[in-house]
Amino acid sequence: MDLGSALGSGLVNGFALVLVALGFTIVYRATGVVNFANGSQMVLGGYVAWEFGTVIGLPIPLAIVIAVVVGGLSGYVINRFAMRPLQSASLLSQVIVLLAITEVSSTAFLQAFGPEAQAMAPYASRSPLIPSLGWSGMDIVLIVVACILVVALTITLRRSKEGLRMRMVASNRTGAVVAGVNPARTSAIAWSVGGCLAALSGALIFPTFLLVPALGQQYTFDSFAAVVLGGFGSFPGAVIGGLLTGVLQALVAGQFGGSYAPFVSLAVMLVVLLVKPAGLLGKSA
Amino acid sequence: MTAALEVKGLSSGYTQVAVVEDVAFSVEPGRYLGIVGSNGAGKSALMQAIAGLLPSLRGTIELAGIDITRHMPWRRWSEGLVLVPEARELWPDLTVEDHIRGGVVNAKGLAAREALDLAYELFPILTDLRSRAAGQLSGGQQQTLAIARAAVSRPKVLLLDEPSLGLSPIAVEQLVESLGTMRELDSMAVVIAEQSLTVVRETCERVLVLSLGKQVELGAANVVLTREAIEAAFL
Repeated sequence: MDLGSALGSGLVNGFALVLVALGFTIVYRATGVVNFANGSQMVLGGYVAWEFGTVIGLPIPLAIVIAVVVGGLSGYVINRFAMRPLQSASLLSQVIVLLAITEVSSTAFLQAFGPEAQAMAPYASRSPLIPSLGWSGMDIVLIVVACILVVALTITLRRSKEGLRMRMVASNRTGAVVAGVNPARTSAIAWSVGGCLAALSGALIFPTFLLVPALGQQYTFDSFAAVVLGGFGSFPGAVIGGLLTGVLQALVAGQFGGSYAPFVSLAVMLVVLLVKPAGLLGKSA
Repeated sequence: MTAALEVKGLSSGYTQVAVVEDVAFSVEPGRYLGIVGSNGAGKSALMQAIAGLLPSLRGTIELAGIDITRHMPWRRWSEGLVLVPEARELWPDLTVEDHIRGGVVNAKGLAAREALDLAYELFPILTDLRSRAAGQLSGGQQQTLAIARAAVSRPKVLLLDEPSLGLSPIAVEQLVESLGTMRELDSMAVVIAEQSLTVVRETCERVLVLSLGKQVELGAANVVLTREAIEAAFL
């Protein structure tokens, strides 16, 4: 793979990671919880889009919308039945439960969809439209959707009342309560939006890559590495971290082979935590 | 006239053990009531119980004639009962302007612009600080901001828990002035829990004295604040 193609492929994967990392950041900012189940929500989005679009044969855009709705519901359910009961528990307990959800999800995907890698039907042209970067119509759709969502979410969280509520809850929960905010409602919204973003990312990226049940863990660590690199709680950080992680993975895969790509996330986390624990744009690690 | 706030036989505590027992008082609209007592008298527990942050074990709390004893804190807020806690509970990384906007984020029919105008009119000191993060403000400025955040929603009842705690004498003077200015907000009743008698003396018409979680006196400020009850409560 030449440098241009590696860079192009890395950016596409990076934009998919940006969507997951944004969902990760929204949940973290509104609740203080590190969502270690978001990779599973991404894979869930991929399987739902595959089931409705490829197997059942609904129009692909409709299948993607269904995937996003199911992803949002998964966020709501995780918050309602796993995180809310653990509201006063330690961070470690919350992380363990979320990792358990990832493991259980992988097994459930395996049982439901089998171990074979599934190829999703494309939602746009597969032929390269920008040959120097190897970008197809699908890649361009993913990048445009990601860019629109980054801008829309940034404006919404800055300007909307719900965005202000999330910032209030994240900054001081009791302060938000005495200002009339129901933090449980704000958490539910954040988890649902995070689930939607992860599922959308999965529905958009998996026609490019093959879908297998165990990818949840990999994408969980990839998106976590992206957030660590960009800086916890920072939206611009999530964007930069996602893109850099995606590009680094593609460059390493191009240079040393695809089996080395998963190590990039671990290496990124290790280096960032040693050199700049707050990440590139974060205030605290 | 229906009382803005009426507390009847209220007992409250952190578990099933009552920290505050059998407290009863009422505040008319537009009036200021002081709750005084030494450290550990139960002032903060009483304020938190009224605001819904501590469970009520017995008794009732009525806001403008409506029983709110079992309502969640955010519902009490939307019904017009707002607390400024002892710890102020600001959002350190959010600006002064964000705090004022946050003070009315759940208020129906109150625009953020109106809230900002009201805040800067009542508390001019905040005008030049509007872009500054709350964590960078002095103690007095933080207290002013906490009160402004609560007052801009024009609540029926405003609860202030130890507003003068940790403030310099000059800041306390400014606080008293601010509390006086708030009388412009017609019909808002204010309950001030204070260890410092200065603030209560300057602002409140009536005073309730708490000692070891029990109500020992309730009456006109100019009468109660000269009685032995005060000595009994503080010594």
